[in-house]
Amino acid sequence: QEQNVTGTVTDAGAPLPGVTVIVKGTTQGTITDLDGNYSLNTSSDAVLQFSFIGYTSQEIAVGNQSTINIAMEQDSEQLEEVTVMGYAKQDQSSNVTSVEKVTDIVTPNVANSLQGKAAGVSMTAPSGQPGAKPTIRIRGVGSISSSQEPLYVIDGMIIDNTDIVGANQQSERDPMSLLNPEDIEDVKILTDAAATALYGARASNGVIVVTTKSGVEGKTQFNLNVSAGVAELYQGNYEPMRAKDFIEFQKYGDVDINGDPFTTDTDWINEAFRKGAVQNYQLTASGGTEKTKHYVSLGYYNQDGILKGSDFERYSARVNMDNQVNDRLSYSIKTDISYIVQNDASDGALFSSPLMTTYMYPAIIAPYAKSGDLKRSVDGNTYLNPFLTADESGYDNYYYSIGANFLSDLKYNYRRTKSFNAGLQGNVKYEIGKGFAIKSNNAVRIQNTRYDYYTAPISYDGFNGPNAANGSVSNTSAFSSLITSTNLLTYSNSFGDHTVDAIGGVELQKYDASNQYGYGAGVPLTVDNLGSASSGFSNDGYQTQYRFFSFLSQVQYNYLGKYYVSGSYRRDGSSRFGKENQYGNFWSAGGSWILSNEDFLSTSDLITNAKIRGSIGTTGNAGIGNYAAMGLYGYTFYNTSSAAVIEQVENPDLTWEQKLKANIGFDITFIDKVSLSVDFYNEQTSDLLMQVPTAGMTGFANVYQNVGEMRNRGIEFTINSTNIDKNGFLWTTNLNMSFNQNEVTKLYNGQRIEYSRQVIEEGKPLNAFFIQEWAGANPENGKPSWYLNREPTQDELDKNQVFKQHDGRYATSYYSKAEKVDVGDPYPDFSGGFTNNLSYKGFDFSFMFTFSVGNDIFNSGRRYMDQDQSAINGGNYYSQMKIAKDDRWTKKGDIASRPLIDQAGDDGWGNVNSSRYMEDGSYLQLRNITLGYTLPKQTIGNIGLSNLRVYTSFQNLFTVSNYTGYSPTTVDNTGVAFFDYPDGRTYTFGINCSF
Amino acid sequence: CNFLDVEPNVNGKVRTSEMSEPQDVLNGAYREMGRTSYYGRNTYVFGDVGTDNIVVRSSGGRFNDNYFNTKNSRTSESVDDSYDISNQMGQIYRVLNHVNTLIHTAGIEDDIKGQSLALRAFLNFDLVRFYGDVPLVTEPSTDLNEVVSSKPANNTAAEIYAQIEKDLTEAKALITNTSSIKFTLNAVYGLETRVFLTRALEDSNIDKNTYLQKVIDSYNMITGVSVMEAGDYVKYFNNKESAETLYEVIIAGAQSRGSDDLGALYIRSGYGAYTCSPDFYALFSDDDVRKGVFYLENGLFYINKYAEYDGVVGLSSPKVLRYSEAVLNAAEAQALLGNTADAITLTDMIRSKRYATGTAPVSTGLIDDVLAERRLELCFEGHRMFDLRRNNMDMDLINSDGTARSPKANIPARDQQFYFPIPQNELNVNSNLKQINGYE
Repeated sequence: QEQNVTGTVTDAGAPLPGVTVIVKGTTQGTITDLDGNYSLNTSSDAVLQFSFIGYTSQEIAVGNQSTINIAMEQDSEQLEEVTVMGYAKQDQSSNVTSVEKVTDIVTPNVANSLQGKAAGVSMTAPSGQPGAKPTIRIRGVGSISSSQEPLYVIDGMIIDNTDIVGANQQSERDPMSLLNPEDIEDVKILTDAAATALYGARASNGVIVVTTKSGVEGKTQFNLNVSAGVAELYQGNYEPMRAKDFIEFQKYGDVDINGDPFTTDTDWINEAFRKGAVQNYQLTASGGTEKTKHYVSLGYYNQDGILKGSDFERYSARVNMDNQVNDRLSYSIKTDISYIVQNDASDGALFSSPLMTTYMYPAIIAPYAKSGDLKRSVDGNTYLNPFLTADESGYDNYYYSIGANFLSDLKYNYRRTKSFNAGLQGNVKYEIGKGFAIKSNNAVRIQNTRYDYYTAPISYDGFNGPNAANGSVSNTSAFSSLITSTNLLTYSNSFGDHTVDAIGGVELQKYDASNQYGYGAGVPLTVDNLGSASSGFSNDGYQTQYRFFSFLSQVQYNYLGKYYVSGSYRRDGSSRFGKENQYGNFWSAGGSWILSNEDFLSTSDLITNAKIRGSIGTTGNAGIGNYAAMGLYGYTFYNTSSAAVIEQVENPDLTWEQKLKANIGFDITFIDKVSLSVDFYNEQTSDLLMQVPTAGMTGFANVYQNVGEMRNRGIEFTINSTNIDKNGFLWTTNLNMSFNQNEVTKLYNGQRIEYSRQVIEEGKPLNAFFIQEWAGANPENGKPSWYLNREPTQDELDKNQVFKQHDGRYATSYYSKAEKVDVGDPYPDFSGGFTNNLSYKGFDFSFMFTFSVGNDIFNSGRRYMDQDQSAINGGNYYSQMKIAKDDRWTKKGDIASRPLIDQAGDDGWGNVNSSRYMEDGSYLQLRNITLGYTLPKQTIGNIGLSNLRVYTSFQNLFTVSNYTGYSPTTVDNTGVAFFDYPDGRTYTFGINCSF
Repeated sequence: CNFLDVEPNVNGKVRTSEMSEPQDVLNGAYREMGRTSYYGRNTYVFGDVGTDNIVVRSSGGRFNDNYFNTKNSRTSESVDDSYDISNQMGQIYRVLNHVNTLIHTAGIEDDIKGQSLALRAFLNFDLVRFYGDVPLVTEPSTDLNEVVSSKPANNTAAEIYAQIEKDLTEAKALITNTSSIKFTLNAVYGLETRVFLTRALEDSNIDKNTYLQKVIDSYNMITGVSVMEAGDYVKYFNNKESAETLYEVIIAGAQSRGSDDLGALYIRSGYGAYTCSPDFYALFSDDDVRKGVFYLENGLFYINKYAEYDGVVGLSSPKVLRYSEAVLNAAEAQALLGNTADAITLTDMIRSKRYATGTAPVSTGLIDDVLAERRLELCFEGHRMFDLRRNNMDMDLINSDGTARSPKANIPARDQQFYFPIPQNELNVNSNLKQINGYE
């Protein structure tokens, strides 16, 4: 009897798409859609088979049922394949976080979407430039002078940040940037020893494991995802002076300004920033037979930066193919290529950058002449300052040092990076039988990056003063290859109640990179190639390489599915290490206990899952120079001959930094609704590389030695809850938080290292701020003052060099007399993310907040923009923040935080490094809101689609913070803000359809 | 072949264990002479800024301690230079390590060994004249553990002088090079005139007159060079390989450190930090060609001796040893020995080529006259401090407006400020090292 059967396939309540439903004994069947639904015409005597990789297949006789809903269960045997991370399957005792929704943030680089997604992971984007490399730290900063970056494992292949070859600072990228976000199946964050020790000498800063998508069995499914939107500046608390403010500020200088009131009032923010378009087109195809599956993607991404002159464009393609040759032999090929073109608006110090201009130019000058024509920076070959001629206001002549007009210069100058990346990977697996298998993974990754920098002769930078370059061009090319071969023997078997999984193998890695640089000056307008340069030629180049040779092994054992123990051991040899120390051993031991599988809990309705886990082990940080251990001569020249200069003495014992990680955690789930994970960790770094000063008589001022120690310890929480799940309405919440405490515990001879305004000192967090404490204006005379922070000497009292500030504490207007004190550190007390997902019928809605509390920022840019000099009295015009006007001392007795304008202290101005510029960097950011609607199947089935979803998303909608700049989220990880390129607010609209 | 073996060639680096060509290492030593902390800038500055040759215009803090004669172990050499070794003393020892490496290389070519010995003498003489009793290092650093544990103690100036004289004697027998960008035989004799003259007047352990005679003997050994012509004087400092030059440190345009170059400190379009003292400027007569090294603006006398080299404004390849200095060293020795006629002949060798015909001052052959000429000829070449000290002279210091300089308007003869302290960072890492020259 012909019968229509429909139903929903779920996994733990969540719809499971892609499940194959076949009428047993026939080829008739279908696949569940994105909502887990299927519909099939069959007969009542049929048996339906439901199968999906990683799940136990189920067979259900149809009978007279017209609705068959199936809850699939994960198959622990097959699960091994799914949760394989790099080399081995996931260790039950490890701390591994899967990152959800890697593509929810509109960004060319998935790394930018990690913020707030996993406990212990901190992501900051030091620049809003599209394509700029974000800073990722896992469980705090782990090193002083070696790498602080995590290790990446992409489709099983180790790659670290230094493997990404950049032709200049602006083309600096991270390994995640090589991937089209759309191609990413899964991102996992590995933190503790059990998870990271297998990666050995490079894993101490944590590991990010990325797996790309594979084909799904079935008829070829096309998916088209198109989104477009616009990014704009989010101004935050930042407020520049407009012309009125500026003149008022200058008038505090008590100077009569001649001439008419201002007529020009330029909004430089408006001139420098724009609404930037974002476009993203992704087409993927996935399908195949049981034996051969393919995944193919084509992508195009184009984003205009919110700052004029900056943009990012990427073309990408990927082909992943898996083939099961027979019961024993399978192989897969993964290839990806991408081509990126990126233009940067310099965030440097030159006024031909819109960034510097928006921060530093007064509103009373204009980029356009009265006629409406754009003023040119340099007229012909004459150095002519367009702002010198006071054609619009009476004040221009006070600002003599202003020269460039970026709106004009942007038409000619560029800083452009083009890069080509290609990866080719072949994996072979052969099942020997009896649980043994051989796996061989081999990959080559090629990168070619080129950076072109042109400054036209009629631009400010291209002309630039009496030693005019008269137009210049530089071309830099960098090329790198990374070749990896991993060969493993794996074993997996069960003996009654005992299950054993083991791997052992060898890995080789070979990296080579080279760089060429050419520069020429005297380049005419628009003839922007090196061949047309006439003077100032220079060139440079280098080659570098490293090798790793590693043995690795891991054993996991479990009894009754309740008790798990594991151990791993890796031996890494590296060309970077000293010859006496060329091999290092890394190990871990872990255990876990699944309490919920015990009799006393297995029947509990309250606690449906409970696990305690712990691990201890060592990892290394090999982020040292490729030749740091060798005795080296540096080759250069003297007059016209070769010259060899002694660079460093051989350091045969130089080795990796070591981290001992200990972790205890538990995972508990209540009534299948709320799950909680808590981890306590302590990570002790030793053998930190530090420069040890030596007697200059040896010819060396210092040498690197493994001498320092540091500790990170903390607690991480993750709570996932299903708040409502009824009548088709689903509301889930994720909250993750981490509390990390960093402390430098040992330095060479206990010697503190002080640099500009921060200090590395035993007992303090790394890079703690250590500067003079600002005491505001001296109420008597309006001079800047700083707290003395010590008892004054009789001499100082006699000479009136100190005074009692209104709060009774001693202060001085001699900056050099004030003692430095601790005024904070750049790291948060805690940070995290809070995400909510709601869905009803076809609608889905999600929003995510990220937050950080207790991190301090030294706003170094504000030292210029909020200071005490007026241009009218011969000082500079840089004070451009509106707050520079506030709370000024004007008359005797005033208690004010800012001194009298144009009043210096007794030994210099008040805008020196002090707590005057310290700010609280805590924030709460609404990182993302997404609203989507999936059209009903009946509607779209008619037009041949299997799925159609429309959505809109809002990124960085607002940030709550006391920070006076644009956004505390773009401040560098070291806590120093200096004219940041802010991360904008982005609105996008998209359509995702499958057919 | 070990898979982990890699050959370093980042920025052209090669492994130490596979010794580079000795000629290349020697060139490396010559190149290192030109670092900012040494002859690239600081060494010349130390000899003039702070003396009566120079007044401050706008220093921006650069060399203030030197200028105000308030040198101390913490500040005296803290002028920034973003190299590994930022102080002059450290840089001298760094070059010394190169030449010690060569001297201890078996089977090395005679000329290379000779030049290395000459350079070692030159370096040690800079140590002894700036600092005095500092460690004498004659072995290269090859082992890291030795480098880390090395804590050399002070030697006496006499011990260092003994090594200098020994090295110079050996060098003379070996050197065949004739190019002035490296050490030649003439350069060794020129260096000897400087060494013997200084030792004659500053080392009480030796016989003064014997050493003054040695100055003259060494001077007489210099052959095939002549005092440059009047018309060549101004441009001489911006060119290279002149017959006047005994040894010069080549600093090519590509080595420029921009605003940290020597000339950039002085010239108008650079920092213009220090200018010529008006009192000193007044000593140049109008028909003295040497007046051409000044640029006048708003009553200030900018020092343009190092205006440009190899197309780079403010760069200089300093003429560290030149024939005119050797002539004046000899003249000074003759005057001190009372050989007035010889002193007159030597002084006139310079004067005949610096003034318009018939306008040169009449030479007296007396020490004051020789020193007066020396001051004009060698100004801003790093000599003034040593000339005053050697001859037991004090100095009166003024500001650019002619008023007395504060905090110190007069530096008495042989004052502590005529010597340099050992930098504090060296004392911090080396418990055997003692501070010297009254800076304790």
